[in-house]
Amino acid sequence: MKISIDQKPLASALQIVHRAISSGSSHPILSGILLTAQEGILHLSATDLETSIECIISARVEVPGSIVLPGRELVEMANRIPSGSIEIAAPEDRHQAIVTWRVSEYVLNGYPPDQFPSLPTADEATSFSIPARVINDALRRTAFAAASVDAMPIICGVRLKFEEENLKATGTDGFRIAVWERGVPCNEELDVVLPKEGISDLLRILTTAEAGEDVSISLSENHVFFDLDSGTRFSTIVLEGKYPDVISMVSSPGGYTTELIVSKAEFVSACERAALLSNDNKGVRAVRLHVMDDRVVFKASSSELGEAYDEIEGEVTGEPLDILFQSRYLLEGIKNIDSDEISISFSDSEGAALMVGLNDEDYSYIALPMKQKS
Amino acid sequence: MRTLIPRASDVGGDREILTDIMHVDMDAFYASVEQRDAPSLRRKPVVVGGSPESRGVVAACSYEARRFGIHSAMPSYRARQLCPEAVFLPADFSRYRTVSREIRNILHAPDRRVQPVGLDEAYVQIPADCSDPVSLARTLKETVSERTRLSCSMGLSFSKPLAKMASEWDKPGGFTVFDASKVRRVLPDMKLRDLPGVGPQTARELARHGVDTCRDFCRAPREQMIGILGKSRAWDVNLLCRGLYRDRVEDRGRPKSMSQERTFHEDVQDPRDLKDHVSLMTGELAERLGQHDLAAMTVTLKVRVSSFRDVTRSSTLPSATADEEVLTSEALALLAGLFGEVRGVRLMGVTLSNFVYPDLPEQLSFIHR
Repeated sequence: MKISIDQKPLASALQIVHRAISSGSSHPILSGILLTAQEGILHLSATDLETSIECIISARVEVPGSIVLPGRELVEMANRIPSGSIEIAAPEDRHQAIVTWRVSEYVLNGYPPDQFPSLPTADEATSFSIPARVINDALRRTAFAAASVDAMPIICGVRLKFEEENLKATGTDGFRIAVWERGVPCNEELDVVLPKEGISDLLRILTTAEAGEDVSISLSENHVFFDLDSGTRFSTIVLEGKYPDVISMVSSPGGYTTELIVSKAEFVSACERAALLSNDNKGVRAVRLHVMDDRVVFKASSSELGEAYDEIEGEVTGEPLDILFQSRYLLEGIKNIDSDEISISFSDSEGAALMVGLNDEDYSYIALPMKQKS
Repeated sequence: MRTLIPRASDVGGDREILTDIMHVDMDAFYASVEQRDAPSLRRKPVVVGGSPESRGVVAACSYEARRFGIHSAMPSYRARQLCPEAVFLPADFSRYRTVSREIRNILHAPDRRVQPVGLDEAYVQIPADCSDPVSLARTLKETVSERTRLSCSMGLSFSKPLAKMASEWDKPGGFTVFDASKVRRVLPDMKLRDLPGVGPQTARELARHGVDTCRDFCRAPREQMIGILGKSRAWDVNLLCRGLYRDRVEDRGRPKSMSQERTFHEDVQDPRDLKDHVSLMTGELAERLGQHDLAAMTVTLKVRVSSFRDVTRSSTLPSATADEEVLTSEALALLAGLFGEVRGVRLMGVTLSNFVYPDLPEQLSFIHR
């Protein structure tokens, strides 16, 4: 293999691809990036066997070929090379690359490309396109609520369901549920659970998409693929199992009896302030909410730090209520609501609370409170 | 110069200040427990503590003994000189602890914080929504006396030092309320040495400068007081003298870990003996966990081998438990893992930690794992 390529596109492509590198793998080749050069393009790929990222950039290819080079070193090097043209040469009989620019020459020891695992291939027939920023919005606002580790592996991911021109993303860890739902004019069907771990990589890739750019989604038996026009492909395994019907699991028989309408910004800052003085229970920051009359009162206490009392005005309808939450279960959801004013509906002090934005039709968030012990 | 004279406004003025802190002080606690449990000792001078034949000191003495000039911390031989007919008893702390726990249980309630001080005193924070703290305090005092058949003194006020001063006011068996108007009346003439938090040495030092009472302190030049006590201490005494010293009643009742340790006179070699010790110690700890209504997640085993090297192993359970069987089998598993490494064992200890407090709120979940 022998190519020459500009430093800038190479560095930025490596920056994207290297995220798929496995950090703790016992197999050294998985810490590498596969470079394949042919017909004017350089193809970069990395994988940890569950998620893979591939990038295509144009290059001047003198001799086609491929090599696997140590990922971290290659990325760090590319970032530090001055802008301009770089030449990468990998003689076929040696698993080494000679990287040269200006007067510099670096020899990188690599691995034989035939030992690199073959990446999954998509069934092109299943492919369909939707705007990248739509899928970005859906995943960003639900993935945080998915479990990181759980006895129930299926909830360690976000369920992405496309049905009757409606796209719905759901994330839950059993304590709260984030649901994003929007009509998207596209007559396709899809029902997959993407592992939470890979989603943050996918989100980084999606934010690189141009405004109005589409992402093409396709499937294989147990993988899902996201392709951008720029030539970047992200693929991940899908989690196996039946995703629970979470909404029906939290709906209370009596329905919601109290509704609070408040400013999102005021609610978030009062809740964050009160939570500062609550740390008695193994890092759990519990905040008590008293919803009544025309306000919501936040109370918290810590035997070491002191006591907090905060209140903000709001519009309250229904019964007065006293309820205890882990502050992060309220805040993480509310911060994702895209609206200046929010509505929080409660059933009772041990029932789920539903949070929505008055100007945000796509998003709803449900959090369970803490149970008081006498 | 700034004078620090208590003014109405300093202690709340016309505004009603809630007397919501109680101080409970068991009268001559150890001696009273002995007298209660042995009728032959009643109305006799009883001294609990070290033997007068040795170099021991008095830990507590009955009111009958106090009449002879005996007081706690006095050398026991001196007590014998003052009152040769006094009954001297060694302290039986496990019995006092049992009674102390009983008292704490009476004082405790979900909406009341209790801060025990030693075995015989406690502060209680009465919740703000209690409409009649005086009746509540009186009822608690009566309940303590009835259930334990021991006399106690109780003070009620709006800060910990004032509540303690109130309980001292009318000992034994007294019930005193220091509300704002009473504090304004009595505090200025209180001797500094009677203020909780002012040690005898500080009081003597101040007395040398003619500062004997709270009023004296408030009138004394501030710079002079700072010169004697230092800034932070002078500020605290200043607040104490004006009835303004506030300090939260802390719930200190929550243990973070519980341990048992055995030191052997000779190295223990036999694994069966080691297993027996581990089972016994874990059993005792499980019992104590149960008494405190706690559950532990982490079991730690410490073994000192004959070369004085400590080997420690711990394991964390998937969920907290107080179950003796579960905890013991976990501790035995840790021991089994050490058999290869250790031969003769000099000391062995079991620690339970990472407690879950059952009265703390629990996050609800809709998925049952």
